[in-house]
Amino acid sequence: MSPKTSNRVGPKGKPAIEAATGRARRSEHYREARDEYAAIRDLRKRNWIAAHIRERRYELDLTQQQVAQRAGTSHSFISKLEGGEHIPTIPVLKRILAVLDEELLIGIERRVPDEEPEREVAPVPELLTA
Amino acid sequence: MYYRDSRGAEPVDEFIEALPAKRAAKIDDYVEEYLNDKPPEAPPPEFPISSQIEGELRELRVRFGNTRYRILYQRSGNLVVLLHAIEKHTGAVSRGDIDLAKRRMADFKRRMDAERRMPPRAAGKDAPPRSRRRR
Repeated sequence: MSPKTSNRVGPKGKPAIEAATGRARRSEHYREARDEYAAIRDLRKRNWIAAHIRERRYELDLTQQQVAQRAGTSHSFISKLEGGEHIPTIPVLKRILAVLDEELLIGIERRVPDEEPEREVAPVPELLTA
Repeated sequence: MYYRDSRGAEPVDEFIEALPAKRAAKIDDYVEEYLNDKPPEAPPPEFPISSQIEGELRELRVRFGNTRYRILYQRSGNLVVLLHAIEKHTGAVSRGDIDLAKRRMADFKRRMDAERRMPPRAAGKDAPPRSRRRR
């Protein structure tokens, strides 16, 4: 390509938001996914763990019913959990995360004056998982 | 904003466009949430959302299920230039991908500078008659 030709095309492409709007206009699946991620983002501000479970389940193509069955809990529990209405117990949360191919860890933070907080993270003790 | 090469191609847009809708929506959501409308003096998104690769070159880290995507980008004044996108399989972004992003950024700056040096085209009453304009 001659330098003359290359000068005619500017290096600034589309704004990303414009491309995203175009994808939404063309694809119903994209619009559904965009709305789901917007809802997850909103949920994350209120309840991080609920947002995480909803996002992970959505991306692994599992239904709430499937997660409930495999984790030994009810559909309505998963629904309320993802809606931010329930805080699960540690054993139930551990089982749900295992279904999503993840492991629950427990973190502890100690505030230290004038220093970064000290943190410890460890797996859930066996006694709690029964 | 996507980097556009001298033939008019926008590689990051093409990468996202080729993905299934859910994956494309997630990457677009991350770009919108973490990169758009941020002032130049704002700190970059914290790890693990983004991390430095080399110098001013950074990566936006997007996980979809068990798949990891990386969008390599760099700030240029008020602009965030999306240079290169990959699905990541190994521990670190490869040298080839980093060099490609850096070459695109160098090309972006060179062509932006060339645009700034060009005098503005005549317009209004100063413009040549339509019949004399090059096609």
